[in-house]
Amino acid sequence: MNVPSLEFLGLVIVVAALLAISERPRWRATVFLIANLGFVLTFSHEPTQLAPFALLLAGGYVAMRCVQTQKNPALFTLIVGLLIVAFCWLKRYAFFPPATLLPGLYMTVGMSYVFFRILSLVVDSYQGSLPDRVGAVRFLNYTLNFTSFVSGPIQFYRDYRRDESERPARLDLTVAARALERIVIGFFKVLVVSPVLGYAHQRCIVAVSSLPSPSARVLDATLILALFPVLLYVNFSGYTDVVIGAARFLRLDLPENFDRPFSSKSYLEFWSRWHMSLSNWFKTYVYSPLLLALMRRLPSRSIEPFLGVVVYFGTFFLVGLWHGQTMMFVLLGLLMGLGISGNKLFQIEMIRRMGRIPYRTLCSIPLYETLSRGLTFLWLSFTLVFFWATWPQLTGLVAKLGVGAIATAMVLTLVVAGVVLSAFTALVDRYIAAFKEGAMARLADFMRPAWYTTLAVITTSVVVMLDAPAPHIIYRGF
Amino acid sequence: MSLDDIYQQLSGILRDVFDDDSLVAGPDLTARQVDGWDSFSHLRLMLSVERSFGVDFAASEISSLKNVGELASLIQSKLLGERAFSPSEES
Repeated sequence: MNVPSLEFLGLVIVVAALLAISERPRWRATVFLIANLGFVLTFSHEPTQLAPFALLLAGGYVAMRCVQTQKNPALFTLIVGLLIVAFCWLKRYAFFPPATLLPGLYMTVGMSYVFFRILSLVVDSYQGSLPDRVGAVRFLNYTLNFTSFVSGPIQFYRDYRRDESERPARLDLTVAARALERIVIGFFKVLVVSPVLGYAHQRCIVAVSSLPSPSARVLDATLILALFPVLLYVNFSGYTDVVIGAARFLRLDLPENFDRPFSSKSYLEFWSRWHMSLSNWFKTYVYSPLLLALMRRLPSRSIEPFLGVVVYFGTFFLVGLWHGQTMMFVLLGLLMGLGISGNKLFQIEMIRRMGRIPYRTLCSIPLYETLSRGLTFLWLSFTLVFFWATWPQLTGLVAKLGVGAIATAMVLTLVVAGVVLSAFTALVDRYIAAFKEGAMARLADFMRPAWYTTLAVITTSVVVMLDAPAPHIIYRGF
Repeated sequence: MSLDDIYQQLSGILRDVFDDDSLVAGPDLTARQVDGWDSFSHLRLMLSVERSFGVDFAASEISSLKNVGELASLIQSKLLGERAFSPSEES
């Protein structure tokens, strides 16, 4: 079942109606269990296609219970290692010889998100930080939560448990109206804007073979670079809007995944605003434990910041690697690691040379801000090439466009993105401030229904005219 | 150890970690209010707290703290030896 679809909304309405019958935790858990399993079964009914996924779940549950009772560090390390290997094997990572992989097709949709939830339960269970002992029903409801099964966000167990049965999120008319707005904007992004951007990006790639002049090559290369991050954002945040809005009707308060990422003035800041639930997961279960372990072993104030740089590199290398199974994603991981650790190293060095306050003053100079935004966007666009292109496609593009045109396009991307994103950020800041209070706030109350109704009408018209299914989330393969 | 004692000890740790003698630990103090409190210095703080109070934090506890009040309560519960859940709480 696709998320931005009438079927999905229908499922949400049925589940919301059933949940409204009783607030008893057992009832809520039962309704969620049926809905979650039913949703998974919409992807496949074939037992052989579902079996690997079911085995991962069963293995995860046994692992969690095992480390809960046996507080043995060696056993814990072995279990976590086995889970990671099993996940990579099921996801067919390129470092496994093809002969060792499972033959045939089987379901992998949502497997990464489920795996993250399983691993967090195993770690929390071992460290004794779970709020309760997780039974089979709650384990399945948490790991297979249908609202966030396909596209995330990754919710921590503690928060899920609170919403599922302990203290479900508030749902009144205002909350419902805001949730409906999220669904409308999500549908608009996924069904209207995302296909347009996807089409434009593909056209630019195809056009590479027939560009008449060097300036056309530069423009085309710039668009190829710059369009994809916007497309990814619109597609992914659209899916997130739909599921966050839908989940509110079930009284689940899913975490946000995006916070105006293109307003970021550094790559470090970008990752605190982009796919936030993923970066929080990696911060909690990779970055923090690794850095703490190193700081314990090498207790020196002067070395600690550089340990942070090394761990940043390692963490973001893994984030990049998680995105796919081929060599391109190893390169993506390396570039992401280089970007984040280089940014951190630069920050440390600037603070050391200038002092914290003068450095902060420098960072607030408009020209510096503009360049920083441009550079952040450029690095993101460049790294994402390794996300959407295959190696033959990439080398083909470089050969046809030429290194000179690509280098010029990168400078152009830096400057234009810096200026446009800074102007846009200032405009949004001013809009938010103006509509927060006074007469403008009252005006906003009238404008909101009109605005979202307009978006809903446009989306419905486009869907009816195109008569095509919604584009899949770009992260579907994960 | 009382919460007041924990806050007093925390004040000293905060001053040392963030190199700011004016810092006073209180329940509402958050990372946003302290200059230089980023994810890296947060870990340095947690390590200092672990050493100073003789407690260990779980990965999810380190990232879920919203203010110094939650940190103080967590330290107190660990000093009292409270478990996150009792074995009978099956669900």
